Amino acid sequence: MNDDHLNAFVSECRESITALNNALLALEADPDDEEAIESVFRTAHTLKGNFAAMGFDDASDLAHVLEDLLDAIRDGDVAVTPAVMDATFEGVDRIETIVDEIDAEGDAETDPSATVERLEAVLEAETGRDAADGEPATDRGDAGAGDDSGGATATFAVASAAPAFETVDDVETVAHAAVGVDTDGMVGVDGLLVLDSVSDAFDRVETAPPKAAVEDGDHDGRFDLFVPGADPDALGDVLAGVGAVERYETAAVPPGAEPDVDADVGSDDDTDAAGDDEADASRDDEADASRDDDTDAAPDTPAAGDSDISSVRVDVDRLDELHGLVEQLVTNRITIRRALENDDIEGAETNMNDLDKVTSRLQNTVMDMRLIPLRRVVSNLPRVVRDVARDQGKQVDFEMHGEDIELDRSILTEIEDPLIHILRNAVDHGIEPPAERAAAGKPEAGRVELRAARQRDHVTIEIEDDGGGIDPDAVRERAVEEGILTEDEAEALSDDEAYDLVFHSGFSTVSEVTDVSGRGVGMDIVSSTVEQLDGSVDVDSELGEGTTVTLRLPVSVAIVNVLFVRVGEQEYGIPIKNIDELTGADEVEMVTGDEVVRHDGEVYPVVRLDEALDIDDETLAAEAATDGGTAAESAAAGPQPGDDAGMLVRIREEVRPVALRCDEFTDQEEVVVKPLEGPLSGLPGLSGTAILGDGNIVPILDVVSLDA
Amino acid sequence: MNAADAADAGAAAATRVVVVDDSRFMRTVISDVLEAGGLSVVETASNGARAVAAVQDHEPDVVTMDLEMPEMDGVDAVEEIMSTRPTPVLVLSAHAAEGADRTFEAMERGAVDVFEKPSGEISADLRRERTRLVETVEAVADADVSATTPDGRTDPHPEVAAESDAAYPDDPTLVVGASTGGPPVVEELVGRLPPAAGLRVLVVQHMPAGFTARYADRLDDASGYDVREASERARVGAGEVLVAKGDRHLRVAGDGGGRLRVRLTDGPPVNNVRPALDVTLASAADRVDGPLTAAVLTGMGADGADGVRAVDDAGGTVIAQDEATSAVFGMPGEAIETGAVDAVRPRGELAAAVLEAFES
Repeated sequence: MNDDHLNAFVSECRESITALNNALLALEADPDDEEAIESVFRTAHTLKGNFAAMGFDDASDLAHVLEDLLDAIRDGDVAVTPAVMDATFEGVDRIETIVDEIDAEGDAETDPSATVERLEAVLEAETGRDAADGEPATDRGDAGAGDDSGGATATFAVASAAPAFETVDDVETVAHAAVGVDTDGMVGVDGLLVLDSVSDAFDRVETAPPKAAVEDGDHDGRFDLFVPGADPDALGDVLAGVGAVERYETAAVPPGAEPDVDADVGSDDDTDAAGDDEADASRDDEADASRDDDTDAAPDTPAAGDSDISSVRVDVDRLDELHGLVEQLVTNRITIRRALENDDIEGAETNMNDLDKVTSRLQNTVMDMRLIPLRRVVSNLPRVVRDVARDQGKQVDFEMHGEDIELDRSILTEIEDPLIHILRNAVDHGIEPPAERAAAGKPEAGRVELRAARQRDHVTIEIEDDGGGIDPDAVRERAVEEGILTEDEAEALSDDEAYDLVFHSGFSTVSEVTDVSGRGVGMDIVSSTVEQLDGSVDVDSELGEGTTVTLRLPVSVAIVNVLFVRVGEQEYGIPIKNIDELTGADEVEMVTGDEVVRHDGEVYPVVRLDEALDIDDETLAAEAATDGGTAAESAAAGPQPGDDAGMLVRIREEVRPVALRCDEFTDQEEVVVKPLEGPLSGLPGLSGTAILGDGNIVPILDVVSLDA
Repeated sequence: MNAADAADAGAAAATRVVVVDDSRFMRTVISDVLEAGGLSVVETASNGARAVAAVQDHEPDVVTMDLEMPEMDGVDAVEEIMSTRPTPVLVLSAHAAEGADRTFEAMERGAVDVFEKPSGEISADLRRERTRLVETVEAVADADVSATTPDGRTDPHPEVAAESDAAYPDDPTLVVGASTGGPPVVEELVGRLPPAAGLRVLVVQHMPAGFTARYADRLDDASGYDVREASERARVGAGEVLVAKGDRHLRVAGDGGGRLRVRLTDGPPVNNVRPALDVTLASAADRVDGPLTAAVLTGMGADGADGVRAVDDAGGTVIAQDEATSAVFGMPGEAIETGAVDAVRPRGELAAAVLEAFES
């Protein structure tokens, strides 16, 4: 296995874990969801196989017992109860821990045996199925037969060592049985019966104490049997058929083996009451431990993890495209260099044009590759909601919409934590306990919804809950208590402004700090992270009705191909992707007093940009000044006099059926568009600004919201 | 560059493989192992439906097939491939027994052989495992699928009968050995044996450990004989069949009271396999008192060739499956080469040949 395999392995494991979590949630919501149970079963099966292929046997065993449990659920032998699901989720979490370790260290440290035992205990308790006798145990038994680890677990009743059996050839293992007979009866007769049956079945049998003592009853009801070369199971079968045997334990031991000092370690057949107690105990320990984990991890993310998106899957076609473009780049470079060496400036220019085309296509391809569906980070969220809700005894229906919306990889990576904080808050502070909801006339199960939508160059993500809402007066009071605001300032605050105070560092409206989200840090981090991304966050709430948190994020650090047009003295950019056709303004006709242009039998209204943008308004000057002021020559150019002067930019019909009229086209260039922020962000008709190579700032038009 | 050059040079002759698995990781690992072994993976597929399409598009020499997959699983995919473009299929199954039932279903529908997925547990000698996988895929690629494709008989295993019951000798022993393509053939042979013949049967079918117990159950269902997986010191009497346990050699230890006593041993693999037919045949030739017949069926390699000589020397009868009906004519061919084989028969006539051997 090489590094590539390890990477592929880890990345697939992560996907499997997410799929497993979500399918389990679906199953929990609807225990009859056959698709979900098939999916979880198959995923556990795949994990098991992959762990085994990488040699992580402990993890494979864990996935195996999980698979067994899911199989039992599929067969209807185990009901989908919260307890069963908790155990299952714990198994998934443990697998995730192991995968994290493998990812970080290349190897797994975590010993999942406690979790395996807990799952086995659940399986056993629910089905009466003997989990320890199930597949994993059998496998271990097979592997153990004849090797040292198998032998080491044998517990001898009285013997100090297994006989060496030197007279028997090719004996590699000795079947051992610690036999117990009813001490109230005649132990000698019982011993004789056992010896007879065993001697019948096997050629050679040794005992400890010696046979004579066993037959004479000279023991305390327990003795050891050793059969060279025999299968311990076969010996067990014989003993099972002897009525005098009250209990027995079999194991394979090497000849001459010494007994295991740790008498607690049972053999594979050790499924008596003691084993159950052990499992119970470990279950309690586990439950406690996992609760502790949650507490510690609360500010972080137990289920989703804070691992960056470190790998992206790319369509092979796209890679081929990249490869082709790089080839062209290289060719271009050679031709340009040759042209320059020959002082062929014209040739160099031609090739520079080609180079432009190639680099822009390269840019587009790479930017596209960086766009990743939101699904990549939100698919862990249902589990987060479920865990918080379970922890707090609340019922929450969580829905997500718009997971296919794409965002730049770097942005997506950053918003995972903020989303988790907001969701935790929604469940922890927003959704009321079932009884309280019922008293308020609401359904007992709260509703939390995450909706993502693309608007122009932004993506908005709304998280809405139907919980208790935020009390603006409580926020005001709290702000004064915390010394964030004076009383006067607080009074002057509008409700909307009050809601936004929840993002203030150190602010929490719930006085006792809960394990889940009440440390007064989460929301603060949310707003600072989002602002760093050139985004914004807004809270809206209705007391008693619920709260909506809206994140507004740029789709990407967008590079846009833009046509520059002049309107008066000012230059504007229009994204090329919006443009269908460029024509002269002499095509404009007047229809019932409005300017229109015809194309393919359709009539498009003409919008004069100077009018639409109120070109002599001071807004532009102010905006230009805000953004650096180098292009502050705001022009007071009125409407152009000549009706035929100027040019038309006909916008693609699906964007907006309209033609824009400007004075002239000046240039076409690829620019980085920064969205407008702060007080300018709501301006209709503008989507952002571009900084040109010469330092000038040019507003980029948003043709959709442009005033007609 | 050497590896790439070699791959290019060998591309024309390389065995062309379609790798099917719903795990991308597993597809990568399997593909890498096969490519490193000089095979050409022409396509990978993540479910059965895509596998069927990939077989149509690429016409590979062989398909490695996972069983548990979404949408269309491996068993259905095998059936579909066999009815659209019959292609040898090697089932790659995760370790442990629960995959066994599905594996046999896949074989029933025409899959040629089964191989355990690469696993840390069995990869003490990973290099050897990989070599074995490459060899198995190559052998399966050469398999004649018309020999393994079910032909749609309504009653696949009608019992054959001798002219009269009196013709059966006392304590007859039959040892059946098979490898690649063997499971359905062995099932047909055992299924056709009349219980009245009172044969004591040992079956050595090369198969990963964990599959043999379920295989014994299947044979039991298909046959009037009482079929069990061999356990340590098991005995087999008239009308009973023991299936050699995976990863253990099956030796005949003694013959007495009408019953054979067997032992399972952990000796080193013989002919690269364990259980090895040679081990069972040699011990049977040595220890069996009554009439002894060996049947060597389809399979790659040469296991059984030494054993049939021993059977022949001990006065026993040897039957081999013919080339036309053998998926892989390795073991039967090697056996025939020794000159110890008394009869060569097609798949459907093997049971009759066994009875003939005991009647004569």
